[in-house]
Amino acid sequence: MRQSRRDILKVGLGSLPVVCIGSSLPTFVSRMAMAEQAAGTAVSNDNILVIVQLSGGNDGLNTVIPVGVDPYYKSRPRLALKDNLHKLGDRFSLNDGLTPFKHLWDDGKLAIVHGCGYPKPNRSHFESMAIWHTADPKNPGQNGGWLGHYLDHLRRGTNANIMNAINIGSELPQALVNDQAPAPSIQSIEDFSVRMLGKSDGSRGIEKSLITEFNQLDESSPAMAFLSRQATNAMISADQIQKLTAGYKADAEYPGGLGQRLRLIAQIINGNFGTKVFYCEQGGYDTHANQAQSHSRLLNEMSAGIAAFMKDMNAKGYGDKITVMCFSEFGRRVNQNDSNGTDHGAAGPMFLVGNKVKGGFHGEHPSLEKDQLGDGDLKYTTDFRRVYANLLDGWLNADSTEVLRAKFEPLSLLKT
Amino acid sequence: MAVTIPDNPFGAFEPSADTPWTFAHVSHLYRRAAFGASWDVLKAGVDSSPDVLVDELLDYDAEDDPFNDTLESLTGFVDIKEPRAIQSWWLHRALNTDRPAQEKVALFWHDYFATNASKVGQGEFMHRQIEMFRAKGLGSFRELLIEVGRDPAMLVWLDGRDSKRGRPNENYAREIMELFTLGVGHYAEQDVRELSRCFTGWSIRDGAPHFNPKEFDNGEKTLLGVKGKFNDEQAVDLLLKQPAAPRYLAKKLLVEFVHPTPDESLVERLAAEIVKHEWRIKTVLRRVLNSRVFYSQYAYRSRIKSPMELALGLAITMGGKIKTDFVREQTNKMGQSLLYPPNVKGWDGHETWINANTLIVRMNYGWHLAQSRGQDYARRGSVEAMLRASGADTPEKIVDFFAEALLDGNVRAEAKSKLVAYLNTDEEGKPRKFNNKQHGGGNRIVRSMIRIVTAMPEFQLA
Repeated sequence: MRQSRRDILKVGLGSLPVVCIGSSLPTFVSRMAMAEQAAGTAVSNDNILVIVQLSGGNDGLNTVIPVGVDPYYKSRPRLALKDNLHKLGDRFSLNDGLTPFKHLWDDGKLAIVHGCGYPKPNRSHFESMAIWHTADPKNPGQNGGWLGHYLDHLRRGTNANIMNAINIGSELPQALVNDQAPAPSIQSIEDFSVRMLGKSDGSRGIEKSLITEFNQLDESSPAMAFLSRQATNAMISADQIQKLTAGYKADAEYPGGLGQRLRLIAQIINGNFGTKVFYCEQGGYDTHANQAQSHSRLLNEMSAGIAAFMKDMNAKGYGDKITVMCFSEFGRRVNQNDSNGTDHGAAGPMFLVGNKVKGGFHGEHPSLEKDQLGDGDLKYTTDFRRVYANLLDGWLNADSTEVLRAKFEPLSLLKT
Repeated sequence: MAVTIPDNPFGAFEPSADTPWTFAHVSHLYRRAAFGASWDVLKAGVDSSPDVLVDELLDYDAEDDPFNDTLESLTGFVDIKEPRAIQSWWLHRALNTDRPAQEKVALFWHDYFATNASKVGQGEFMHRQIEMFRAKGLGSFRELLIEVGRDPAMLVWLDGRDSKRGRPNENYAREIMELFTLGVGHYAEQDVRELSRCFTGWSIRDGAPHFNPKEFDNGEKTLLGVKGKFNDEQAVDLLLKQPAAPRYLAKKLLVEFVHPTPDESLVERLAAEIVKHEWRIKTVLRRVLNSRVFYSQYAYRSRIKSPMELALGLAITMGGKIKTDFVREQTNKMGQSLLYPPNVKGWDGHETWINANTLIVRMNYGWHLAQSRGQDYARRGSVEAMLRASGADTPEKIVDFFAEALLDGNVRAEAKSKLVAYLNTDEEGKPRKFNNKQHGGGNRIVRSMIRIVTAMPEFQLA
C-alpha cells in the first residue's frame, strides 16, 4: 500500500534527535560538513539553492511558445499565443507576462530546460508532485525528499544545523523531509518568536524557562515525542532568527505573494545563517478553464518576484551565491479543452536563474507531432533528475549519485 | 509506549467501576465531536453518560436551526459576496452555537470536499456549500455526494459547469474517484474520461444548480467495467458499490474522530458498518462516538488539534466574546484558512499542522488569550469569575483548576508543583507568599500561569 504524506512525515521525523545549533553559529555552513567531499572540487561551499515550486501544473507550451510549429496552433485554436510575445531567437518566445524573464535572458542569467519529466507520467497533482519531491517515480510515497537526502548527506558526521534548509510557508514540502531535523517553516519574522507575559526580565525569564522545560523531550507517546522535539527546535530557531535578521532593508520592490516570500528569503540570507536550501511556492497553475489571462498574470508575478529577488541579492553582494530553480509537477495537455483551458499533461520546462547559470536553452523541445505524443501529451526529453544531479554536484557540492540513489547524467547548466 | 486497540472496538463503551466515566472522557468527546466546551459544561457531562451526550450532540434538527437565514437577513451590514464575511460568520456560529457538532461535521466535509474560495470567488456559493454540509452532513453519504456534484461552488471549483456533452471536463471526475470515494489505484485513466461524461449537463443559474438535458451526454459509457447510459446519480451508485469506497470513507472518519493513523483492522470493521447502515452517516458516527475504541488510550490525545480546534477550543474555555477577525487571522497563521484549503485534497492534518512557525503561533495564541488587555476580545472572559465559581483560592487549587479546564487534569505532578511555585513569585520573579486577595483572580501571575499551561505540548493534542 502506498503511504500517505502523513505516514512519510512520521517516518521522516519519528526518529530524529533533538538538534542543537553549534555553540557558535557558522557564518556559512561549516566546512566540517563538507569534509567527506572528494578533494579538489572547485564548487564553492557557500552556494544557496532557492526552489520555486509552481503548483497546479504549469502550461509549458504557453510559457515557452514553440513559434511557427503547426500542431501548436492547430491543437489550441483559442489558446495558442501569438501577440506581444518576447522573442528568444527564431524558434521560441516567452509568454507576454514574462517580461522580467526576458531581461534576465538578455543578461544571460536565465536557463530554460526543455521537456522535463519522467517515465510513465502520472497525472494526479499529488502523485506527480510526490515524484518530483522524492525524485523517485516508482515509490514516491516511501522515502524522504531529494533535498532531505541532501541534508542528511550534508550533516553526516556533524551536528545538524536546523537552519540548513528553510521553507517559506505553512506546510513543510515533502522534498525537505529528512532523517534528522525538521526544516523550519517560516511565514514572517515578526511572528517567529515565543512571547512572554511577564512584566520584568526576571519574571519573563522564569516564564520562558518553564515553557522550555515543559517542552523538553517527552517520549510518553509518539505525539508527545513529536511535539516536544518540534517545540525545542522552534524555540532555538526563533532565538537565532530574531538575532540575525534585524537591520534588513530591501533593495528592490517585491511584487505579489510570491514576491513577499522571496523577500523573506532575502532577509534570512542577509542574516547569514548558513542556510543552503530555501523552498517556496506559487499556486494557481491548475488552469482547466479560461486560462489565458490568469496564466499570464501568474507568470508575471513569478518572474517579477524572482527578478526583484536577484536584484536585491546582487545589491547586497550575494548574487553570485544564489541559483533559483523553478519547476511544476507536470505540464498540460497539448490540446486545449473545451473550457478554454488545458487539462493535466506531462513534460514541461524548468527554469534556472542566477549569475552563475549558463543562460540559454538546454535539451530538446519535445515534438508536438501527433505520432510523437504519449496519450496526447508531450513526451519528456530530459529526465528532471538530470537537473537535480547537476545542482547537487555542481552547485551544492554533494554526490548526486548518493543523494539520488542512482546515477543520472548531470546536465551542464552552470558556469564552472 | 505501544497502546493496544480494545477488543470489540466498535462495541458500546460502558462505564464501570474499573473504567468510570470521567471528566477526561467528556472532554475528549467534546474535543473530537465539537470544538471543546467550557469547564462547567464538561463538569456537567460527568454526571451524564456517553450515549446521552452523544445523542445531544448529534440529534440536531437542521431544518429548525436558530441561525437559519440570519446571515441573509444581515445583507446590507454584511457583504455576503465576500468570502471573508462567510469565514467570520462560520467562526461566529462555531463560537456561539448550542449545536457545536453541526459545525464540526460541516468542517469535516469542508476538508473532505475541499473547495477553495479563491477560485470560486463568490462568497454566496461558499456559504451555500457550507450550509449544505450543515443541513445534510449527517444524512446519507450517497445523497451528499450527489449534492456535492451539483453544488455551485463545486461546479466552479472543479470546472463541472464547463463540462458539456461532446466536451466533458475531467477535473471533477478525477477528483471524485481519487479523493472523494475510491483513492488512487482503484480506477483507470479510461474511467476518468467515461465518468466525466456522466456529470455533464450541470451548470449554475441564479446561484443554484441547473440541469440542461441538451448538454448532458446520454450516450453509453463504460465505467469501472460496467456499461450503461449513466447519469450522475447512477455513476455515484456505481462508485459506492466499489469495495474501496466504504474503506475510503471509513478511514477518513477514523482519522478525524479516532486516531490519525488508524489500524487497518479498524478501517475494515468500520467499512463493514458503513455498508451495513447503508451509508447513513449519523448512524455510523454515533456508533464511533459511543465506541470502546473511541474512549480508549488508543484514541485519547492521539491526534494533533487542527488550528480551528485549538483556537476555538481555547476561546470557548476562556469565555467572553472574542473577535472573529482575530480568530481568523490567527488560524490563517497556523495554516488553516477556512474556505481556503491548500488544494482539493484538503488539509493533511495531524503532524503536518506543526512546524517551527505554526507551533510558535499556536503557543502565542495562549499568550493573546491569557492577557488582560489587547485587541483580540470584544469582551474578555473573566478569570476571576471562573476561579470564584470553582472555589479555587490557593495556588494548588488554581493550578488544579486550570490543569483540569485546559488539560483534563492530566498534567505531570512535577509540572504542577512548578506551576504552584511560579504562583508564589512576584513581578520581579522573586519568591513571595501567594495571597488570593492580592494575587488571585485576574492577576498577572495567574494569567501568566495560564499562558504557560497553554504552551505545554499536551495542549496541542485533541
